[in-house]
Amino acid sequence: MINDILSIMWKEIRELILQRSGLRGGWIGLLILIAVFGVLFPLQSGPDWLVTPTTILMWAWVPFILVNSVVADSFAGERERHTLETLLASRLSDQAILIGKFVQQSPMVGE
Amino acid sequence: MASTAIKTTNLSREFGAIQALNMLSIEVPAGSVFGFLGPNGAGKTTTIRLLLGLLEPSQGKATVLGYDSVNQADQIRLQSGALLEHNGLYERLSAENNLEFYGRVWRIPAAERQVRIRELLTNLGLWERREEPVSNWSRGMKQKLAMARALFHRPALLFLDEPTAGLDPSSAARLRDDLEKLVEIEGVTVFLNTHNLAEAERLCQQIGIIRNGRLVAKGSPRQLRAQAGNPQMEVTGLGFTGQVIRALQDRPEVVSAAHHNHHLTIHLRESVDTAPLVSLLVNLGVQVDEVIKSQSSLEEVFLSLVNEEENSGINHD
Ligand SMILES: Nc1ncnc2c1ncn2[C@@H]1O[C@H](COP(=O)(O)OP(=O)(O)OP(=O)(O)O)[C@@H](O)[C@H]1O
Ligand SMILES: [Mg+2]
Repeated sequence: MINDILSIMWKEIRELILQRSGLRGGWIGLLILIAVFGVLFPLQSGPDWLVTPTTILMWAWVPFILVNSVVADSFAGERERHTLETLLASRLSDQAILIGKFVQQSPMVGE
Repeated sequence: MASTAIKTTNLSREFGAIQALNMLSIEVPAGSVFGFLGPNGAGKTTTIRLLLGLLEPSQGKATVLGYDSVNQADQIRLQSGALLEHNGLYERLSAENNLEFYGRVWRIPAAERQVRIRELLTNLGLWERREEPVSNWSRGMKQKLAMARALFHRPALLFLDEPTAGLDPSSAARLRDDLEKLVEIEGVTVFLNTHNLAEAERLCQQIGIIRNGRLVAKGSPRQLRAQAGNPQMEVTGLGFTGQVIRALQDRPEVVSAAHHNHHLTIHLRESVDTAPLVSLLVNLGVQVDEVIKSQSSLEEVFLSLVNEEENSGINHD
């Protein structure tokens, strides 16, 4: 399983290096999140916004949502380019493909 | 190896109102090539998807390499190689990296991967261009690469969906030779979807003809040809007397014999050895100039079956 995940990551990284547009969608998502949680909400609710536990919880979700959207993009991309079916027809399990994509995206987003 | 590689029983799949596959029952012996022929939209690609467990049947069942296609698809995929409808290549990656990726997927050790990539790409005459992104390659080149990817891990069972589409005639012939060798030497089983009748005739031990999701004929190329019409013999020469015609008609393998000027047409019962008939003619004093044996081609069989179906859909007698 670990090997399978590493294989997927190996491929994902190479595809990303060759064209970073896969991440662009993610960055746009992040900017929207920052705009909403960091600018719009504080402006509306004043200084209270910064100290409520809800806020902290919200921020904790940001990387998760971001990674999620990039992974979803990556799947959509494979489907569009008709590579997913061949990958699914290989010995890899669906879980390995998902985790491989997920784990690979996480550190990239964290940077 | 006389075991069965693929067996389907009433395998069916519908997409909404469309019955893509309707009660397919076939058996493919291990170590043979099964050709699946049919017009566009007949259900060939759907069948491959069902056999690999990429789709679930709406009815019926498929057993592939002894495994159930619904519950044990992992096991089937583990031992299969597939070239599906789309080539499935990563266009941004180089040809070499496409193979390298699938080599990793199949858990082939690094050293062996290198050797295999070199071997496969050299065999295709594409080793020099291995570092280019696949998007730069021509359609036929991509198709060859996809074929190499399907073969990379030396699977026991190969699913090929129109593998020679986009290949030039000599590359296609080469691929057929390679496939033939694989089957002969390594005992690989091949499930081949094709529109190329000559290819089916050349490669397949068994052929299934499908139309509108239903199997309309099944058999060896020879059986199918025989089903469509009897072979005949055309003789050009001199001395076709009444006695010659009568002697021919007395033979058990001859259905009828008739001549017109210097041409004699003999309708035969099945594909028999025609040499004894030729010597009979010679013994009766015929000067034989040319003998042509003809048989309805697989293409004629295909067209007649497919059209027959079409007509039977309209006439209700
Ligand atoms: N995912 C799907 N959703 C809806 N309909 C589908 C789907 N896949 C296949 N079909 C339909 O099932 C029928 C059989 O399609 P299939 O792709 O199996 O044909 P085929 O024999 O491979 O044709 P071709 O020779 O053109 O490749 C067609 O009518 C097609 O539109
Ligand atoms: Mg098809």
